[in-house]
Amino acid sequence: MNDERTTPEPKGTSDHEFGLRLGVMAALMLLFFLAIVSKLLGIQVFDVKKYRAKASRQYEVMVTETARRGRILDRHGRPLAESVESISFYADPKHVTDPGAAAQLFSETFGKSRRHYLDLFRKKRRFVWLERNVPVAQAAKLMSQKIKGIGFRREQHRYYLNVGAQLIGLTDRDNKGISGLEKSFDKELRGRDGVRVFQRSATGERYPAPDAEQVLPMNGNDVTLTIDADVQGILEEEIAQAVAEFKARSAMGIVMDARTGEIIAMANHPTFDMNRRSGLTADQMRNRAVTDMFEPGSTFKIVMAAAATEALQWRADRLVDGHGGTLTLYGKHIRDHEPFETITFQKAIIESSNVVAASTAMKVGPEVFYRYARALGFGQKTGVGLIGESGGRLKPVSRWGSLTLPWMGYGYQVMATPLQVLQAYATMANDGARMRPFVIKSVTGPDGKKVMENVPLKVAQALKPETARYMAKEYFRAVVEKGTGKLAAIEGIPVAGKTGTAQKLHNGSYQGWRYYVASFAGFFPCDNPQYAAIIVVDEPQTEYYASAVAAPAFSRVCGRALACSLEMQKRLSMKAPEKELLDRVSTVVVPDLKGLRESDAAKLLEWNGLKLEPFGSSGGSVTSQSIAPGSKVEKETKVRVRLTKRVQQVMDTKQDRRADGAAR
Amino acid sequence: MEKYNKSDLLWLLVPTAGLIVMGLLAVYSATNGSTESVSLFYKQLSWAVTGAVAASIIYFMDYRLIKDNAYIMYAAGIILLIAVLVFGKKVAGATSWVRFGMFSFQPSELTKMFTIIAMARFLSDDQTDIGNMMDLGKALALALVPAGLIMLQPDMGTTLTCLSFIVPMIVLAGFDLYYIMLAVVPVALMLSGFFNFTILAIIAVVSLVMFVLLRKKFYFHQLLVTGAGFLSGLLTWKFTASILKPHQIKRIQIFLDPTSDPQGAGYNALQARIAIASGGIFGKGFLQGTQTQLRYIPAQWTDFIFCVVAEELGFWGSTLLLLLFLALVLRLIWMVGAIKNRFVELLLAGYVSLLLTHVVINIGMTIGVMPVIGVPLPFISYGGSSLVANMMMVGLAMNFSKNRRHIGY
Repeated sequence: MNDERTTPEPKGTSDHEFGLRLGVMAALMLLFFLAIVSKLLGIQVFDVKKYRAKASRQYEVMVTETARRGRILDRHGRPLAESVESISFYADPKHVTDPGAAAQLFSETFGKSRRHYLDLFRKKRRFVWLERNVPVAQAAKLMSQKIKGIGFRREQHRYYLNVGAQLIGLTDRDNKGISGLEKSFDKELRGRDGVRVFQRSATGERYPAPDAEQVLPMNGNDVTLTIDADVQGILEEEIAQAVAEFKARSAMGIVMDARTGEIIAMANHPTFDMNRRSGLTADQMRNRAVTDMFEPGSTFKIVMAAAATEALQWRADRLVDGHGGTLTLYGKHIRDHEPFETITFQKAIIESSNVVAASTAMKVGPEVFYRYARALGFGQKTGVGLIGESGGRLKPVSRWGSLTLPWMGYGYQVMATPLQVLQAYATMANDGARMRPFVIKSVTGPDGKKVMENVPLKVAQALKPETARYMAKEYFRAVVEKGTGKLAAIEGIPVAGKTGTAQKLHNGSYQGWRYYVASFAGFFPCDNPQYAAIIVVDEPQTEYYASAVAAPAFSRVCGRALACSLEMQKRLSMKAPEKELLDRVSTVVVPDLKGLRESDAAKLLEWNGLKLEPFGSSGGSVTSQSIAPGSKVEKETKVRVRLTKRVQQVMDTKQDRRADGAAR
Repeated sequence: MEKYNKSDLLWLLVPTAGLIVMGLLAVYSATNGSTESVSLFYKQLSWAVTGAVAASIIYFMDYRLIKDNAYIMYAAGIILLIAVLVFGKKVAGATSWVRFGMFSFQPSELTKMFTIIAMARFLSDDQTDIGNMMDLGKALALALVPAGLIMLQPDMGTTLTCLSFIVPMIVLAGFDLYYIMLAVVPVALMLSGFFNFTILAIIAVVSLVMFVLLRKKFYFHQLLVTGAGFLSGLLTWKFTASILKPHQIKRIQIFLDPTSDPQGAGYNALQARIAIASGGIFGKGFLQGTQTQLRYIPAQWTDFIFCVVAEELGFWGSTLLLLLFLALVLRLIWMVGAIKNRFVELLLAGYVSLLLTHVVINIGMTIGVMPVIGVPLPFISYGGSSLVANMMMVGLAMNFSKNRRHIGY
């Protein structure tokens, strides 16, 4: 280009240098261009992943749609545990553009003052709860309206019928099972949460993401139990009654279908209010009926009786030596509660002679005795599949001492859970066929299809059917008819069973007078057994003989169960149930509502066949109720309940911190 | 002598047209989906048409008219700037707009061009001796008066760009770069102490080498000036932490690296960086940029428009955009050398400096190598005044290119 330059540069700079400077300038341009391009190369090509991730973190919003947790149903499909959806509204005060209008809207819907909401909108935080756990029906109108800066979350509340607390268990705030069946069937109940992907603009608006995969929530499966809620309720009431009456430490009871192994009811006391779970202790939460083992005492004589009947071919009229009430073996005394001389074997059983039991066990011999104990299910888990089940303790013969066999004959030096003892009696009731006990009847998917169904499972033929029938008729029916179990009788129905009053080993000795376990295990009707049940009362204080403590409770439980269960009546081919029996269940117990939210209280009352009549501030919590908890009233009675706000707000502030992170 | 050559024109026309088309697409995408989007895009389109008409008129005009009326245009520009201070409307904190019917107009964009023309006229005048302090003062005053008026708006970015062409123009007019360097080097060294020692040392060495190269001789005062600057730079570097309060240091750090404060001052810079970088090699596609379409970059159709291009068209798109700028700039530099006319040389040099400053600052800030200073990206950013003014300048350059046989003396 320089050759075109004809005029010399007027002011100093030479032509050549001018060209050079332009060249340098152009080179600098090029350099600058390369610098920018290399920078772009760096971030757009090499760092692209990092920044794409940053970008999507910023604009992508994943909204979890919680799957509805499945219900736990009783054998007749009555919900024992149910999740109800509620709505919670929150706000990001920074993004609420029109607080006045929003406050007005909320105030109209929930009846609180406008000022209350305006104060919330003025908070300096980026997250405040406006309303928590509002019923969907009430919230629907607000949910459909898009208010800037205000959002809502669906939350679930687990309601319980409040029976079978330890068996059913609880969920935590995150809807996860933490105990009982809620825990062991968590995977089934939980379902699968859905995820919806949104794009969020800088100003906070959301649009459905065009290409993202939307995962729909899949509701949890319903778990149907073999439990009958009515029988369960009766059992709980009666063992609570027994604990109160005899000032016992604890009590447990199980009702079982002897033919199938289905558990109709399983209860423990002390228990807890499932809908109000504060202050729970491990003591209340333990499903003692399967976790706790005891030396069973006389109820264990079933093993001795079975072995004698089958292996020794003994009959009821066989004469046995009562040793005058005391048998001395290796310097230790085995005593009866009353002295017997020569008596029939039947009498020995119905009067629960320890001396005869011990000497008979020795006649049977350790191997045979052990075999019968195992065959009836002792020393092994029943397979019921409940959390924390204990298999009891039955030492192998090789580790037996010289006193083990005679002691075991009447139920010591062996440990068993209430369920194991019951299983042994149910085996006798079921013509010697030992069934696996179970609580899960079926699992049903949200579409109504059965995912899993439990069928009765015969574990072993423990006894010959004739043996079982003979024992039931000759010994265990007699116990109820004329022996220690008289108080276990049910009017009009033949009952067989056995009492057990076991001294508890306390601080290494059996000497303490107040440490007993009183139990009664039995079944009915004796001529065609259908149901078996056991009542165990631990450390009763005012009375300790099982005949007075456990047997009457057995009678009441079974009698009331029969009165209210059409299914049981049908199985027993009973005619119209007696009026008197029915009347007993037309009254219901008023639950303790204090501290519950209005909706929870209403639900709880509804389940108990009662009605809620609220007064005070709606949406608050119960501070008092017109009928004292525990009172028995007619069904359909209205319970007036005072609602106040305070309790809920305290809870809300506690939850705020947790929710803060989650909703951001 | 060559014949009038069409390809000469294409070197200016094609890059400019390419830039304008990319700019229109970017504005369309940046405002897509907003309620006023259509009107913004069509406004910009109508400004582009206006610019094309204006550029055509200038292209066919006698260039001497421009030169002859340079001072009148300059005076008109100054009056407009004063008028805007008095009657203008405030947008985003700066009073830089006047309204004509439905169109708003930023006089500062046009005045910058008038200032370049006026300075070119003054410096190319045979009577002017840049070595004379009086004339140097006049030349500086020509640029500083509009710069001062713009600063009053206040619009720091535009003020800065208004100063960008002073040095290149007076140096081209014959003022010795050496003196400018003597004044600038110590200040630059002192400020570079805020960065780190390496940068300080590099600048000191480069300055010394430049001094020697410019005079082709070593003088003691060169070492003195560089040394003094280096020492003050050392002091800044050493004592920054003890003299300045933590929040002041933080402010400087954020200025130097905006991404260190993602919620505050660095928000725009960070969002810009995310948008650009997430574009990848081929981009997310036209109208598919998440950061753009979800409005993460505030006012993305103006100063941060490069993000839109980079996110949606990716590395190749942003490189294409830069290539178009490079072609235009290199062609203008080539013309500075090719056309033998002081006025034209100075005018084009001034315009290249202005154009380049805009591109450097704008793209530099969007990719995070420069502090965030609000200047538009020529031809691309939404804004009629800037677009029309730049198109008029290209029209003028095309006029020169067409007439370069007659112009050169």
